[in-house]
Amino acid sequence: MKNEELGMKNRLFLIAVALLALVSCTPKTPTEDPQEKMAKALAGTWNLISITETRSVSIGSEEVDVYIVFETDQPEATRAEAASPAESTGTFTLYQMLGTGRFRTFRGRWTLIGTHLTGAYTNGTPWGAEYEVTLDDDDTRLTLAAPKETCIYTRTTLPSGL
Amino acid sequence: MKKRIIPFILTAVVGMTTACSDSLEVAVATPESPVTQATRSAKIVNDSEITRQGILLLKFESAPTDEVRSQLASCGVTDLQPVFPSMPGKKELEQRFGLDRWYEATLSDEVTTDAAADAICLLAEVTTVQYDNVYHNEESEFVVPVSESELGLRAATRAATDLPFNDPWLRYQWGYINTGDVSLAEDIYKGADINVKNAWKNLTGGDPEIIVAVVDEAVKSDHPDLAANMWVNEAERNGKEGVDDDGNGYVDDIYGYNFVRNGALHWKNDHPNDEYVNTGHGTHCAGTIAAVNNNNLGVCGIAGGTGNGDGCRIMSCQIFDQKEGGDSRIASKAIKYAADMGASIISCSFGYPGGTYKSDAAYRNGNNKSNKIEYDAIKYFEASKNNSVVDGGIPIFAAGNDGDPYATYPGALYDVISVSAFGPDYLPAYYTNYGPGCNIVAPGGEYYHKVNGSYPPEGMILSCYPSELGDAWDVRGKDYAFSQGTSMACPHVSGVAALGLSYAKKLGKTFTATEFKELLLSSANDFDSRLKGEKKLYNNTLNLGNYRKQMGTGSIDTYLFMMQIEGIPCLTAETGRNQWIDVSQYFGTSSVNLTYLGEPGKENGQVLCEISDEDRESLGLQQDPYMQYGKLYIYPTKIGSGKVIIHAIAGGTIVGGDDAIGGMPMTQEVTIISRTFKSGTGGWL
Repeated sequence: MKNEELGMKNRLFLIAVALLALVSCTPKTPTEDPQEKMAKALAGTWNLISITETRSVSIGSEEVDVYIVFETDQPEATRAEAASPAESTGTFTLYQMLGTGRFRTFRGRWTLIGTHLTGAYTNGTPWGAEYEVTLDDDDTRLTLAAPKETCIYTRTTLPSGL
Repeated sequence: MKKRIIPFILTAVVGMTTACSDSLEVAVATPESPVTQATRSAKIVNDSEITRQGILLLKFESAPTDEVRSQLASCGVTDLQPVFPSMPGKKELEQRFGLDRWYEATLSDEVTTDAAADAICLLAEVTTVQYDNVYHNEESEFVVPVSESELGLRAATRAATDLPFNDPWLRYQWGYINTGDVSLAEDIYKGADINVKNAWKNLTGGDPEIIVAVVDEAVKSDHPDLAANMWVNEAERNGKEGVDDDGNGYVDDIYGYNFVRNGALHWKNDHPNDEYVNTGHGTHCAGTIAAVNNNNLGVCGIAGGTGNGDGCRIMSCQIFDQKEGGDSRIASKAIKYAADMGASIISCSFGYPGGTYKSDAAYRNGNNKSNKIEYDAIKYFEASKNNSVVDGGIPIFAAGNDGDPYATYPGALYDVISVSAFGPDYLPAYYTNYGPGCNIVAPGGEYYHKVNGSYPPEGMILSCYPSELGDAWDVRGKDYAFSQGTSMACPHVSGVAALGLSYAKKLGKTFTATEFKELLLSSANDFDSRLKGEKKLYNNTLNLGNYRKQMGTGSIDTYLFMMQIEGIPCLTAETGRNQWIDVSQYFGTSSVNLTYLGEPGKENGQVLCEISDEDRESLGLQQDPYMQYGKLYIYPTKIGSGKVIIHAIAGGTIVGGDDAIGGMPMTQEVTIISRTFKSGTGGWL
């Protein structure tokens, strides 16, 4: 009887070892943090193509030309400085021409928590609104929706001279 | 020689008949019709104080015939010549402003100027009789020439600052970039300057096609820090000496012309009378406007370029020479010359003694229908388009150094820019005129600012100087000098105007001359908020309250001017909210102190702005926007846009004109975009 018990234990042990080996060798499938994915997709240069209320890039009879360049903070910096690991931060440069004249430049920082985007200019003045961010599937179309205004941007490169 | 009245010419009085000849139509006075008295008053546009004797300026209905000349001879005229040579291609303009009908009449020693004037005005063919008044230039009582070595020693203890050009003495030119360096003046006010630094760095340094005529003493055309920016009449430079190669009526006018000696520019001192001296005034003014920048030499000029040969050009129109000249005839010829030879701006640091005239009409024509010769010349210049930006010339004058509460004429004319002065303390200079007719204030320099118990010259304005002239100890060889005066403030504004024309040309912008002047005058910073209490400077005590709201639109701001040239400012407003919008960024920070023009609003102090019906509808306005406390009130109820037009006065509480000295009316247009929200910075996000 003892030989049969020993044999069962050995078989169980071998099965356990085999299972352990099987689990150890199976490669893990990486899953990207949605926050980081959104932040990466946000990075780049965007040109305003539609203001929802007017469905154009004009307000009244005045043309509006806006370029935004979003840059994401380095991941190390993000981990070290972020108040919460669930947020992404970075800098922005905004070029705008309202009506006639030349482009004016504004700079500052942004914070993305989930799909909620906020920011402030370099002098500490917060943006005029907070936005919900939506990107289309190929990340070429960005929608920033404020409570009463939704603007659509397309990915582009900065014109020379800006 | 004692003069006597020719017996057959009698001063006209009511009840007497007076005539130069029986064959011409002359006004005849009778007891019933005292037309002679009235005729004299109607034709003589000024009085005989401070005039050149032995000459009268006459304007005719048409070119004088032989018969008219004969009658003039009977009145004591020995020679009659047109004042202005006719410029090829300018005949129509000359006729429009009557310059072709002005003549200078040389008088016999046998007749007094007054008696000749009385007699000549009776001739029907003569529309205007003018005494040849003499101006004075707004020169400073202080001119301190300095050598490069002296400037180097002074600068040795100062740390280098972030300056855009390598000109070694830019650090003394606090009027351009004022870092608050107390080694220049212990009470210096940081930022008291024309804010030109970023314009130089980012926008422009000038354009060689923009020419500024310095109407003054001569500009030393071969000054090492000016020569490269002198305007050159190529036809004369490449032509024959002694020949009027371009047919403009002047011989060998290569860098300009000496209208006193009718010849070459003359800035040296060689008069037998030691009191008759040149002071370097024209050269100093020219240096402020366009000394060559970034040439590792000397000083900077506001429109002196960036070191790439791109500075504006200086044309020397000499009207003073060793205390001679400076009369109406000479000044008028110089102004016409500037117009004919391509100047876009005339920089005029001269004027009548303060208080000589108290209204535009009194200056222009003695309250009669005929205009003075220099008024006709100024109008001719204003009608001359010499660049691709504006449709006419821009005259800029010094306001005067008499400490009077009004500007001097011609600068006080309502449509001419007149410049007052401030010192390094950003307070009115003790000498400056202020009040009605003074449109804007600029650095004029000021002596008497202490440094370590002494009075160095650095509180004044440093610029170019003719090395042929000596200092107080007659030491020569000095290429630079400190000086003060509204004479120095005037070229600051002339330089900024030239820089503005250069930038506008670069952008392809065009304006009317009126629009351009309005933009210039609305590009000003607050100057009033510190005008409280007293300013004590040596033996001078200024009650600063007297200067509040009396310094025009404020202190000129070059960078703001460039921004305005770029385009109509576009401001954002929040839909569904009544709000005040600060327009000072675009209208000058003196906007709170300006007098606004328009229909009154519902409450005291409100002045309605203009807006079209279409724009009112686009913004959903329930009431018109208005100005109050220097801010624009607006309540848009719809997402849209509109243009709001704001009217104000630059340099007074009333618009200048025939009745009184006053300011220049100006208009500023702003665009309002109404959105559902706005940021505090004006940024889109």
